[in-house]
Amino acid sequence: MPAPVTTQDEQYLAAAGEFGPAIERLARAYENEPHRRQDLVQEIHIALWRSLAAFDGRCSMRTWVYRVGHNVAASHVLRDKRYRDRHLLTLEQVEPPAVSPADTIDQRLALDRLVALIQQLKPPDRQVLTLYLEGLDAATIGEIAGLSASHVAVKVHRIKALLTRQMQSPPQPGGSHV
Amino acid sequence: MSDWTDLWRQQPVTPARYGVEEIREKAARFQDIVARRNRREYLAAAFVIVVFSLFAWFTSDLWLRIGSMLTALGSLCVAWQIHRRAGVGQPPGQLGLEATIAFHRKELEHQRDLLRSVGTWYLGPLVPGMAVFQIGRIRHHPSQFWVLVVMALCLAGVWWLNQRAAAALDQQIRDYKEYE
Repeated sequence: MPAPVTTQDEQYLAAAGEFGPAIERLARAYENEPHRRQDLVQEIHIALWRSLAAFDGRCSMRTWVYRVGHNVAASHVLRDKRYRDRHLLTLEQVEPPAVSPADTIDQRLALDRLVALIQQLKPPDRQVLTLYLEGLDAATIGEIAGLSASHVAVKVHRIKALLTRQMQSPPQPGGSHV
Repeated sequence: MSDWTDLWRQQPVTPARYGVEEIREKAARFQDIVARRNRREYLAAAFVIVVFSLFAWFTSDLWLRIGSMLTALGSLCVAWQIHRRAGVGQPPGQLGLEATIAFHRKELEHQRDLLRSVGTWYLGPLVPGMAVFQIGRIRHHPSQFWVLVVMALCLAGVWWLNQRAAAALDQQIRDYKEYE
């Protein structure tokens, strides 16, 4: 006979239902290889369920889910030798994507270039950029990542500058790749 | 900016869906994998302890007997250290309670400290037994001296590689501290 459904279970089902797509997108920011990405998604869901036993409402469920997701993903890449051998960049160092969603009808190409850019970033900048792309406001980004409001503002300014750089220069042949 | 955020949020995904029973089973299986990995380490240590204990029992050479006992004791130390370190894990709730940048920095610091201290908790306990045992063998077979030299070089090499890996993590940790 199955064990009774607990508050932890209900919270998990609600969170997974609401934030499932965000978890998939977050995994893509950390893991390029599809099978390993599936494993990472599963790991995040397991960690989310286990963590919710300690959820006491001191933050929003959204903040909780994003924290769990990024913390699990960060541990995932830390265990990966391929990641340890890579030279990762900051927002200031990385090249902008070679195409913009406004300039191309091939949205998949633009998305691939965006993901490639994200995966070149060091984890702190990767987290902030991914949270920004999720449409979260600066206060929420700061709460999830543990950054001050001014620090988030500086990062968001750099993100906007990076992503608009394409608008001011012609598309570069070849573009960046992971 | 809405172009990029729209593109990101509207990318096609098929969210994983797990029912309550399924996620419980997966969590239990995940814990089993961790427990099995730890058990393998304990079994390896137990094997070394048994083999060297038996050798100590049956050999008549005093150096080999002492070396075997020290090696068995050293393996016991290492097994205890692994158990102590494997048992110190984050409580599950910490993943949601801790902000992401501090969490990752602490993970890096934990890894770095483990690597830096490998000389004391992993290699160190084994050195006395291995050295005495080899000296015992060299006393009977002086031409085997090279084995002791190779062993020392291997241990030094392992220690050095771990220090290098710790230094690489130090650089990453400095990156994180700039954010906090």
